Amino acid sequence: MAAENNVSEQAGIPQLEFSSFPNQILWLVVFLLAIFIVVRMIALPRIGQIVSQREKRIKADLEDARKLNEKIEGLENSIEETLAEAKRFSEGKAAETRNEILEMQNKALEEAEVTVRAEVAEAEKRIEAIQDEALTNIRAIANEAAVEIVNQIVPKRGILDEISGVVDAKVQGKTSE
Amino acid sequence: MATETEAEKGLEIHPMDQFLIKPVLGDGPLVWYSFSNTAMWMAITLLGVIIFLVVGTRKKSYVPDRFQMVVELIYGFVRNMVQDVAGRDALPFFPYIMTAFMFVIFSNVLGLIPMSFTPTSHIAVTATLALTVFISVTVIGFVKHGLGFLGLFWISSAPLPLRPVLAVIEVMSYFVRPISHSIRLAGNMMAGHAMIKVFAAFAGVMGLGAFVPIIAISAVYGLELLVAFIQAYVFTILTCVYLKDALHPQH
Repeated sequence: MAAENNVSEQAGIPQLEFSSFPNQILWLVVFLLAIFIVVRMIALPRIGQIVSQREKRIKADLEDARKLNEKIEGLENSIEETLAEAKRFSEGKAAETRNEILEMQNKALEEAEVTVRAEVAEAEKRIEAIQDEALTNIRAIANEAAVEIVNQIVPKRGILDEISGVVDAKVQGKTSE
Repeated sequence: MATETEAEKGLEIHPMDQFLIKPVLGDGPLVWYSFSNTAMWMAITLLGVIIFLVVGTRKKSYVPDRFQMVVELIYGFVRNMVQDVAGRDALPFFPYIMTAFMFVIFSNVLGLIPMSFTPTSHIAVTATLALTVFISVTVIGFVKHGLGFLGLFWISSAPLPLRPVLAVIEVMSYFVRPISHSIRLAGNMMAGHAMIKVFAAFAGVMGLGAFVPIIAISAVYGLELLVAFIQAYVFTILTCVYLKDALHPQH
């Protein structure tokens, strides 16, 4: 029982021991002021500065990025323009070359035709000459053959010229037909 | 018979002893200027705040390290709380609210170190804080709005006959604010610590069965950590709410 009393006396509720209040309040005021000075004078300005500087930096970086983006867009446009120009140029060049080739081809064809025609004409001439020659030869051979045949049948030389005339007339008639 | 007395003796629990205010320098009786255990732990709280706020931000880097990140997080948390609850015009009072939050949260959390002391478990401390808030917001209210501040108690959205009744209730609740504001914090801090102490005393006499109270202590400790943060948050947000009433007393 005595021990119990002792305990309750000793413990009680320390929160309600009013004699300790001045001490607690004194030190609370002292350290709260100290914390306030640390917070107000050092911490908040510093963190505020860090945060605002970071915001500024982010803003500036974003602005830079936007500018670069615009620049890239400009470059892309100019690249597209250059590409289009190159395309146009190459298309023009291709058409021109195609025309040139066509012209050359036509020219060559014409030239070839002229040559061929000339050669054909020449060849025709040659053929005619050969035909003429062959015709002349045929007349002579026919004359000779006829004279021979007549000689064999009628051994009289006097009508040779007559035979020749008949043969010539025959040959001529044949060729003219 | 002998074991019974031993058990009885073992169950002499003094859960409130941890809250005794004793001088830590010198062994005389406690006087108003003695450097007491509460003073020592307030000094450690100050040290904690300095380490957290000053050392944490010493690099001032654009890309914060983990430490600076936490400091900025707490800064943003309290600043947003002031701005969201009390409005933009309450931002000049942000340093005061930050000071209160820092003191309460460090005091609460440091008090969870075994053998330590929790200044915020004492009603004298929390009542001083709460009265400071109460007097400040009342003065701010009258300075900003003059007698218009009394509009806080005159609920114009209520039916006219009810308004006087409500005004009485509002005035009473206004004056109860510092009491609830301070007892809430001190009570929460005291109760958790006392409970841990009681469980610890059980563990001391239970032999091998002690693992049960030890598990309980671990669980309560986790809960207490949560309570330490929540009560600091509650104390601060209530301060913001009271400040809001002082800045915008119209209902």
